[in-house]
Amino acid sequence: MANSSADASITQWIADLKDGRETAAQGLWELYFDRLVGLARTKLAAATRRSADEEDVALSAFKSLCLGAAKGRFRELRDRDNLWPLLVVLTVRKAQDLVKHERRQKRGGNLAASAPQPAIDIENFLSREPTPELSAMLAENCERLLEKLDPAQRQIAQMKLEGHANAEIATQLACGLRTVERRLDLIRKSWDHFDQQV
Amino acid sequence: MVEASRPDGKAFSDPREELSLDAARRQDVICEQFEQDLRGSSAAAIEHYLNGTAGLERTALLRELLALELEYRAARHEQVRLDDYLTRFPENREVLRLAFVELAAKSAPPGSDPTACFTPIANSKTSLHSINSSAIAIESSPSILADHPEYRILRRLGVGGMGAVYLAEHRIMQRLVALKVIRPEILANDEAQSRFDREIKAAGRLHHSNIVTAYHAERVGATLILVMEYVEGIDLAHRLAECGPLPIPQACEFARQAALGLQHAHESGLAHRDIKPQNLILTGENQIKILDFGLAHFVSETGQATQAGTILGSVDYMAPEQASDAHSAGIRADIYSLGCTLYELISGHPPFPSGSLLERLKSHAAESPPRIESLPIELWSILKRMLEKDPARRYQEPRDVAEALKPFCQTVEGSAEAKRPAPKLVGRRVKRHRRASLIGLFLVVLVTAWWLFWKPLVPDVSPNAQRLYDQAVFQLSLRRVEPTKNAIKRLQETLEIAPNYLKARIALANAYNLQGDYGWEMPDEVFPKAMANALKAIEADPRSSDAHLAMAFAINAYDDDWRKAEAEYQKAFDLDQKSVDAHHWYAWFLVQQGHRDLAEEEIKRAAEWGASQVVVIANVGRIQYFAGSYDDAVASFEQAISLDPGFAKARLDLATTYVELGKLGEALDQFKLMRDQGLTEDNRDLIAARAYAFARCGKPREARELLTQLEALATAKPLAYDIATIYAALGDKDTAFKWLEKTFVQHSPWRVFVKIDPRWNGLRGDERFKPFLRREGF
Repeated sequence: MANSSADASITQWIADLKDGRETAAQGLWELYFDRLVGLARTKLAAATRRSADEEDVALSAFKSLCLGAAKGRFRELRDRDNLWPLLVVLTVRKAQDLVKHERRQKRGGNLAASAPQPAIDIENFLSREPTPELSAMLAENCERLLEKLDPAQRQIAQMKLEGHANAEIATQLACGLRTVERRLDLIRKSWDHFDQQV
Repeated sequence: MVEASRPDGKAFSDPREELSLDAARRQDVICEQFEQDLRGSSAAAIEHYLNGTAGLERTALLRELLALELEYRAARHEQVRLDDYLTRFPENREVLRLAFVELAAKSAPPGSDPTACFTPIANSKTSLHSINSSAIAIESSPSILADHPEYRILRRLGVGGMGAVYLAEHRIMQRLVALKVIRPEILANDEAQSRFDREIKAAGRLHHSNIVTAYHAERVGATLILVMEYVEGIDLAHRLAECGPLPIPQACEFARQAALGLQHAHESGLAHRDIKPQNLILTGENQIKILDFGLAHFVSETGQATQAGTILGSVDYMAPEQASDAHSAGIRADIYSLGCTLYELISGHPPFPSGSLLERLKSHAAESPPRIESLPIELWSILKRMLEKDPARRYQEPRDVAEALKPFCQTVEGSAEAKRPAPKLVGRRVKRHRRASLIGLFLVVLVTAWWLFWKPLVPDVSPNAQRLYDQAVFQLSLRRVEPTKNAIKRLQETLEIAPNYLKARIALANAYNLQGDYGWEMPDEVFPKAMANALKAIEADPRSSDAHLAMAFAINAYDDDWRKAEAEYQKAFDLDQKSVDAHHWYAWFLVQQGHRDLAEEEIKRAAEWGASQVVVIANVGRIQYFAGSYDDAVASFEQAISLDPGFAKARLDLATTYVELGKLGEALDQFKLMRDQGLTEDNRDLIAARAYAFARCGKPREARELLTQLEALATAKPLAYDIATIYAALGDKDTAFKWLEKTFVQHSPWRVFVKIDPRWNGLRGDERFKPFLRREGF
C-alpha cells in the first residue's frame, strides 16, 4: 500500500489533470499516453496474428484504448472524467508496491517494512518509456478493476475507456448526463477503494 | 445578496467529491430511482428522495437530484426557475445556483439555440454580469488569468460588450468576486486608457447598498481586469422576460432603490448613463443593485463597444439630451432612464417600443409617453415628470424621485424564506409517511442511522450484493407498502449472494418489523421473521448494537416478555451508548410502561443527539400526547411539520391531539390539508383518524360511515386497535371490547399502549378493561 504522501501527490496530480491545469505532468502525460497507445497497438496486432482467443479478455483493455485512439477520441485528454490517468496511476502504484515487496523479501526482515516509503514521483515516472511489462499489467489491472463494478457502471467505464464523451454515453444509455458523471465519480471512488484494499 | 463564500472555503467544490464510497453508492441508487420516476413522469418532489439524509450527504444528494430534474425538465422545455427552488431549499442557495449554472452551461453549448425557453431563464439567474446571456459556454479561463496570483477563476459568467466576465475566488480570502476582463481593443489609445482609469477610479469610491461595488482594477499586460463585487440575483430585464410586468408597488420599490443608489453616485459627482433593466440586479433579498457604474459612463463617452450592442440596446431608455450629446448627460439623464425603466417594469415595455432606431430616438425627443391605463393618476404624474424632455423640468436629484415614489412602494421585505430563522433542529426532511404507526417511526431513524454511522463490517461484498442492499435500504426509507415488499425481496437476494452480510441481515429484520408495526401485514406473519433474522445477526456479531436493537424492537412489539425486551435494549445501549435509535426506541418502551417523565427525558435526549431527525421530533410530540401535555404535543408536531410539510403522520397526530383538546375544527383542517396535498396514498390511517374525530365530537353518523369502510378492510389488515378506539369513542363499549380482544388475538404491536392511550379513558372504569392490562403484565 502506498503511503500517505504518495497518495497525496497522486491525488493532486489527478486533480490537476481533472482541472485541466497546465502542469509539467500534463505534457508528460500526453506523451506517455501516446506511447502507451503505440504499445497497445503492437500487442493487439501480435494477438490478432496469433488468433489466440484465450488472451482476448486481457486484451480488451488494449482494444478499448486502440479503438478510442483510432477514432481520435482521446484528443481531449484533459477531459476530467478520463479514466486512463487513474488506471495508469493505480497500475504504477501496484508495480512499485510489488518491487518494494520483493526487496523486502530479499532483505528478509521487517526492518525495511518500517522504513518510510518514498512518494511516487509521478513526473519522474511519466518521463520514462512505458514498458511492455507495465502495459501488460495495466491491461490486467483494468480487467480486475472492471470486475469490481456492477454491470451498469462497467458499461460506462468501458465506453469511457474507449474514449466516448459523457454526452455520447448518456445518449447511448438513454440516461441523464448527470447520471454518467455521477457513475464515473462512483467508478473512480470504487477503484481507489479497491486499490487501497489490495 | 452578496454571495459570501462558506467559512470552510468550500463554496465551489462539488459536494459529491467529498462523499465516501458507501455514501456515493447509496446516492447512486436513489438517483437511479429518481431518474426512473422522472422518465415515467411519476417522480415525486425532490424532498421525498432526500428523506433521511443530513449534512454533506444531503447537500450532495440534493445537488444530484436537482441536476437530474433540471436536465429532464429542460429536455421537456419546461420552464425552470431558481426562485421556486430557493423557496423550497432556502439553506442551499449555493447548491441551487451551481445546478443552474451547470444547466446553463450544458444547455447552451456554442452554436446552440439560445432562445430555447429554458436557457435564458437559467442564464438570467446565474450570469448576472453577462450582457449577452446566450454566450455562456464552458470555456477554460483565459490564459492571462490562469496563473493570477490572487484569484482563482471558477468559471465564465458571460460575455458583454466590453469583454468577458468571470466568477473568481480570492485565493486567500476565499471571497467570491466577478472579474471583468476588458477587451484590449477598447483601450486602444492612451486617451481611452486614461479616461477609463479616471472613470473606474471614481466608481471605485462608490460604496452603497444599491450599487455593485467595484473593488479594484489592475492591468495584466495590455488587458485590464476589473474586480467587482459578485452579486447573486437576476437582472430586471430577465425578471421581466420571465414574469412579465411587476406589481406596481414592487416596481416602484425597485425604482426607488435604484434612485437611492443614483443619489449616492450623484453626491460623488458621478452619473451612470446607462440605467436600464439589464443593469439593475435584483438580489435574493429583494435589493436592487446598479451594475457597471463607471463603465457605462466610459462607454457612452467614447462610443466604444457599440458593435456589441451596448448602446443600441440602450436607446429605449436614453434621455433626449444624451442622444444628441452624450457629454451633456448628467444625473438628470439617469432620472429619465430610470423613468423609462419604471415604465417598462409596470407596463412590460419601454415608453416607445416600436419603430426603427431613429424613429425611437425621435419619439424620445418629441412624443409624450403613452399613458399607462392601470396607473393611479398621482403615480402617472411622477412617471411623467421623470420622463420630461427638458432636464430642467424633471426631478432634479434622484433623492426627489425616491421621495416621490415612496408612498407607492411596497415595504421592503426580504423574501420570507430568506429571512426565516434557521430552525434549531436542522431539518431532515422525511416525506410521505403514508402510514405510520407509533413505534414504526423509529425505524426511520434506524435506517438513517445505518446510512450515517455504520461502517461495513464485511469490507468486500460483491458489487451486485452491495447494489441490491443499497436499493433495499432506499426503498425501506420510503415507508410505503410496495417498496417495502420490494426491499425484502432484494435483501433476500442480497443474502443469497452474501450470506454473511450483516447489514443486510439487520435490514431484513427491520423490514419485517416495519411491516408489522405499520400494520401492513398481520403480526404473526412478520414479527417471527424479524426475530429470526435479528437472532442470526446477533449470532453473526454479538457486538452489534443494531442487531440487538432490531431484536429488542421485535420482542417489544410482538412478545409479551417485557424483561427480555429490556435486556436487549440494555445490550444495545452497552454496545453503543450514543445510539440515537436506542434512546429513541427505549423512550417508547418507558412510556408504554407508564414512565412518562423518564420517557420524555429519554426522547428529548434522542432528539438532541439526532438533531436533524423529523421523526424524533414528531415522537417527542407523541410522548407528550401520551403524557397528557397536549399543548406541548401540538408545538412538537408543528415543529416537525414545519421541517417537513409532507410528513403525513405528524399531521394525523396533530389532528388527533386537537381532538383531545376539543378543537374539532382544527383537526378537520388538518385532514383537509392532507387531502389537498395529496398525502392520502394509503388512507387507512386517515380514515381511522377522521372516524375517531367524528366519534369524539358528537358526529356518530359520519363516524359509523367511516367505520364500515375500516371494518371491510380489517379482514385482511390488522386494524382492530383503531376500530376499537373508535367504538370506545362512540360509547359502544361492547363492540369496543370485542375489537380490543381481537387486537390481542392478533398480537398487534399496539396492544402495549392500552395502559397509556387516552383514547381508552372512557373504558378505564369498566371492569372488563382490567384483564387487558393484566395480560400485558402492567
